[in-house]
Amino acid sequence: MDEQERKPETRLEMLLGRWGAEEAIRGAEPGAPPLPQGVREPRQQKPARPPRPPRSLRPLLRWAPAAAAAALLVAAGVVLYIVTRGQMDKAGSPDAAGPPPAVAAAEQKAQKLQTELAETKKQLESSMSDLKNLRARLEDTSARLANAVEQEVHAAEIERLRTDHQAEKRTLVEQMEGRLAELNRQAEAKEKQIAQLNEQIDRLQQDLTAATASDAALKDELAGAKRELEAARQGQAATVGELNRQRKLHSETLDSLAEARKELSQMKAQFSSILDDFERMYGAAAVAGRAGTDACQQAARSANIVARCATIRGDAAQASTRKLLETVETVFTRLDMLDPRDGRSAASFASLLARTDLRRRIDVALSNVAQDTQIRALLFEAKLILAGVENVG
Amino acid sequence: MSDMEVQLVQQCLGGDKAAFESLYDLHARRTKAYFARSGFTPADAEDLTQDTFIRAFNSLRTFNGELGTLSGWLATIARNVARRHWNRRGDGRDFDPQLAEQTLEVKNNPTYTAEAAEEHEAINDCISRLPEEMANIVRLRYVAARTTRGIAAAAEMPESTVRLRLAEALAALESCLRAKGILE
Amino acid sequence: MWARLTPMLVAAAVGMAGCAAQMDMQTQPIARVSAIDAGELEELIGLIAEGRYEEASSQIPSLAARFESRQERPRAAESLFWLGYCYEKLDRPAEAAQIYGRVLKDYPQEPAARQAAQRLALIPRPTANPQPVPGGMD
Repeated sequence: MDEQERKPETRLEMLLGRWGAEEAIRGAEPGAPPLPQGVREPRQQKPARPPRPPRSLRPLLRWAPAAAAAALLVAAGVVLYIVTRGQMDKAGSPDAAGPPPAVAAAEQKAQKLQTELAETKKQLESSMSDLKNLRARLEDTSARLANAVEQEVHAAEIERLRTDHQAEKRTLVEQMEGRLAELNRQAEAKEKQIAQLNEQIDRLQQDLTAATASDAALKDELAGAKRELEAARQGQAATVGELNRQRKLHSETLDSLAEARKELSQMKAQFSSILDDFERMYGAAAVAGRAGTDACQQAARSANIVARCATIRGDAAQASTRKLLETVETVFTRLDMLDPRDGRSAASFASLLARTDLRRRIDVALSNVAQDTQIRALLFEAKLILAGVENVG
Repeated sequence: MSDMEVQLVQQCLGGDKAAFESLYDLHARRTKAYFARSGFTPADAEDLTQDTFIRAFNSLRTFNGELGTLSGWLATIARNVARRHWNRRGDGRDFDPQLAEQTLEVKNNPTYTAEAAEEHEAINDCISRLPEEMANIVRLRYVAARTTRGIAAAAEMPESTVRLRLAEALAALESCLRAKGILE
Repeated sequence: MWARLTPMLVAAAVGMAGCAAQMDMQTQPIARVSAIDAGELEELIGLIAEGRYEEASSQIPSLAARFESRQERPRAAESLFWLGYCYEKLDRPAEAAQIYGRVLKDYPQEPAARQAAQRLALIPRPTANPQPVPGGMD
């Protein structure tokens, strides 16, 4: 704890304080005792001490009055001893009956000395008082001197700092001036460079303007060329597309043509064969003397025209085809029920054919290339059969 | 003053060097400990101890055993010597003068009573049970007689931490000494 | 297709051969019919061939009755057949089946019966009670 915060000592602190003192004493290792007569043992090595602050005269002044008083007292005592001793020697002599004149003189002298001693005492007291005052004044003067010295030191320090600061400032100013001059020189050089660069920039600007103008014209040309190129590309793309389409179409057409030729060849071959058979049968039939209506009836029944019409009518994509098949169905049903022995049956059937315009309608349906295959076959057979009926008429 | 001391003084006055050395042995530790706890360096404490005993020897004739003990007389000389060289200390604020003064008041023989000896040993034992940091702070405070500021400087820690650790150490020591019956 | 076509062409050739030979059609003795009624039947068949089924079906019953009264069985059967045909085309299968059934039952030997049997096989089975045939033909 610091001195300012000293609290009332507790028992614990008291115990610890005593313990600590005892421990400190135990731990203290004093050196060898000093030699008698106050002569110390030579110390082997002293550690470097920091410079002592200047000693004040106060300790000496403190003892000065006491020392002066002691000296005076000693002097007074010696004087008294001498005087007393003189008086005692005289008192021990044979003519002591009455005070001899020498003794009276001595007594006077002693009184005189006592008076002088008293005066001396007074002077001593006065001197001591003066000394006290002097001491106080000396202390005051010492303090003032110390302050003055301190102020002097401070003033010297301040002066030194001021001098250093001014020197530093001068140096700094010189440096800054030099730096400024250097910067000015650099600035001038930069300005010259800038002026040169500006001239270059102007020239380049002119060139750039000219180049920009021609560039603009070139750009327009380029844009125009690009547009033309783009148009050409588009045209080319369209042409290529058209060409591809045509090629594809041509290819498909070729394929279709090849297929059609193939079918035609097949049809021709088969038709040739059929026609051969037809011719043979044609001749055979003529020999057999079969009636035409009857032959047609048989042909229609053999071909199962009526039932096939009823069956495939739903496959017809167009209404006209469906209607045609209905008519075919009706007409051929009629054909089936004709009495061949009736002379009028052929005429009535022909009349029915004419009324329904069936042959033409069959031809129209057959000319449709997208016609259903089964429908096409049925209509073709119907046409052939009806061709025989026509001839019958 | 003991008879032995009376005899030693008389022998010293008779110029007996051995008697002086005996007196020195009896009182030098305490004197040096006083200077050390007052803030003097060990070298200065040794110097001042020597100075004290030289002065004591030189003025031994003025010693009056009827007015006081020899240790008290020596203590007075030591105080005067310390005051005379007060400026040689480092930072005086690091040392507690009251604890330093306590050095001169302690009896020469710490084991003069069995009770005191028991207390001394009990405190040693309780301090040995403390954590090292706390034990160090207690020794700096009560053995080296340092103030909080002086402990902080020696232990290189903030003063607030010193106060805290010291309070914790005192609480632990109080509890320990109560358990030993030294404190109530 | 060609496999089916060949027999047909053969049949057609037979027919054409008969036509080219200009054979004389030997008229077989047949029942004498009313020319007017026969023409009316032809007209009704023409209507049917033109798809005018409703119109035709309204006239057939009376014609069929007349044929029956004169015992002209072939034409009576044919008339009834065409009535059933109209009902079939008018999407009245139950009535059509009823007529076809009557043709088969009353005129089994006539050519119309064969067609009626074929048509009856083609139309779906009637699921509800057939409506009575108008004209009092039952």
